[in-house]
Amino acid sequence: MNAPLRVAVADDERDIRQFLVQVLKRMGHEVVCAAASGRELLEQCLDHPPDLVISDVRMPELGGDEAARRLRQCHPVPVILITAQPRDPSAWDSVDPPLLVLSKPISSQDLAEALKHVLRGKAAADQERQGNHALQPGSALRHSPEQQPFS
Amino acid sequence: MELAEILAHHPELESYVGWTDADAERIGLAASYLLPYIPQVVDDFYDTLQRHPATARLITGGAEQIARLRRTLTEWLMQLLSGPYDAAYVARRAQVGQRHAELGLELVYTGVAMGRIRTAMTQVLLDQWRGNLALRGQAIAALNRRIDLDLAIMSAMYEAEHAEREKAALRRHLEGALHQEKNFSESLLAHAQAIVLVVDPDGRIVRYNAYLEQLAGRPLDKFRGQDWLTTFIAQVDRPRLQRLAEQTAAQPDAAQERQAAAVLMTAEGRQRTIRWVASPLRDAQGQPAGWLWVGHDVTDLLAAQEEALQAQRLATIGQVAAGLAHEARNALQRIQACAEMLELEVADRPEALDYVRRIEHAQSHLHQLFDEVRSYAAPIKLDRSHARLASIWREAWELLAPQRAGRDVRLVEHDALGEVQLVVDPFRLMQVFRNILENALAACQDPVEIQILCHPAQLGARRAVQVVFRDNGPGIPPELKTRIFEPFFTTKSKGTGLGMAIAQRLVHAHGGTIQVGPHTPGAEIIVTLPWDEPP
Repeated sequence: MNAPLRVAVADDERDIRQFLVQVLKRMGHEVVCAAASGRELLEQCLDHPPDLVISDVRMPELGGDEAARRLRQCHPVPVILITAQPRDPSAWDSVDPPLLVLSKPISSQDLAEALKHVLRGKAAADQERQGNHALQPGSALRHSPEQQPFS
Repeated sequence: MELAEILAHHPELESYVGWTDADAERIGLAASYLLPYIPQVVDDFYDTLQRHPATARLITGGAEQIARLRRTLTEWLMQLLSGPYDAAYVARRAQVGQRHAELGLELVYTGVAMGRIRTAMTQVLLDQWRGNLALRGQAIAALNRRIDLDLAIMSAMYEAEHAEREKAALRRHLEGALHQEKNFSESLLAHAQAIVLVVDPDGRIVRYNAYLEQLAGRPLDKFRGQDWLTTFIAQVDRPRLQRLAEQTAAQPDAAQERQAAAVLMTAEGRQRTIRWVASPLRDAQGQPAGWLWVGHDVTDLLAAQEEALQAQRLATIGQVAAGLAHEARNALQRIQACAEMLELEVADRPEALDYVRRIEHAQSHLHQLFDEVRSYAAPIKLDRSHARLASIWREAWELLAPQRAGRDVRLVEHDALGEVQLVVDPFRLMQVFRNILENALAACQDPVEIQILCHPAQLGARRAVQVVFRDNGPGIPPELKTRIFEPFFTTKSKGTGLGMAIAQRLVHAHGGTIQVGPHTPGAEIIVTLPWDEPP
């Protein structure tokens, strides 16, 4: 198992938020923030950036995609977006990679797979010392966000 | 006027000019003076005739003809002078008149020629008469009366000939017009882009046009006299057309408003939907003579309408699916989340754990249903590339490993063409094959044997490849053969009922067809795909 990560999660649905927290903890990671909106996520993460953000897209006040974009203007944090609204791939262009988009519903196994991909990509990016290097699985997904490659 | 009429009419003319038996005797008296001058009269006659172009043109046979004509005229003059002035005489005069009319000698020249003869003979009598001058006057008058009667007979024949010619010209004109009309009708029949069929009162084929010959692939020569309904119309539709004919017979004025659709069976076994109109036919006496059936092929129109309706249906489903998408997925995610958390809570209680697993199962089924509805209704964009058919169905078979686990299942390939490359969307085609194979697995009892045959075929005029799937299951009842492609139709207790509907949409998007085949026992699904690219 890789080193434990400091993860920030955001979802306006309490059940899902709780689920993400529980699954991440079980996997040995530390959940540093469990936000109910994009604004809350930004507030808690801007000063203390996490290693990874997992966020719902459509939330009140500020969407997860926009929150991630703003956060990444300051910190090159990898992001996993979870969406209930399959959309055109170009809709995600406002968020720079490394980025992974998953379609709801996802299981704990889906999440585990996604984390593996993100970490592998992060390692490669760190090696190249280049924060905006594209993650392979992320870029593959961007062409077909409606499919679930992890199920 | 016919000869008989002339003969019947002749006594009246004789009385009109005042001809009597005494006149015959008076001419007999004059004859003794006139006979020696006949050659002179004949000479004068032909000299004059040859001097005038209108009459000279009739002499085409040279001296020989002149000699013959001279003999005829001499004889004619002898008869004029000797009688007897009976029916045979009238008939001979009529014959001469007819001959002149046939030759095209204008009547006016017959008149002046006779005038010349009359003058010449009168002059002879005036010059040569010896004796009683009163008798001479009577003889000249009698001769004139006879010549007038001869001229009247010839004129009558001219009239008759003229009438005959007019009749012939009229007949020719009418025949020409009729011929033209017939050609026009024939060409209408030959070129009409509609079925034109005539049957007798018993429904036996009298004739039909080239359009029907081609559409049905049945030449008229072979089917004339046969019952038209059994020759052309699908059995289920025959009563409908019989009813149409009965209703039209009862109310013939409204024939054009009454229509009925019926399926036409072609020689190659194709079916075309025709919209028929029936019109009763009557003969010249007004008696029923049969029926005129005019039919328009509305197959393509109905298909286009059905397609438009289907597109509309799909758009509606798509809208509903999109509208549900967000909330449905969130709800599914919440079920998933809570079920997984609950699973951890009750990890030590097998019975409770089983319930949680069932919830997860139901959730996953709902998720699948949701995805299938969406993919059924979504517009299909094919991502085409060269792909091997066999690779595609093998991949589909691999994906069904979970469904095959623990079962006695065998896939047998008879692929004459499986290695052929088609330009298709491999992912979409894989979905098609997977859905077909999945259905077969669900329908069959172990041991299952699924056969795949792949061979060349035709798709209309296009070259095509046929992939045939056969299983050893219970088969598909005939009444369900088209219904299995309807959305939400299923015979399985589980499943969305969209598998075959999606398969059909995907195959249609490829320009192909999918249908239930006739092979039994077991079910047969035939996928036909266009094979446009060279292998």
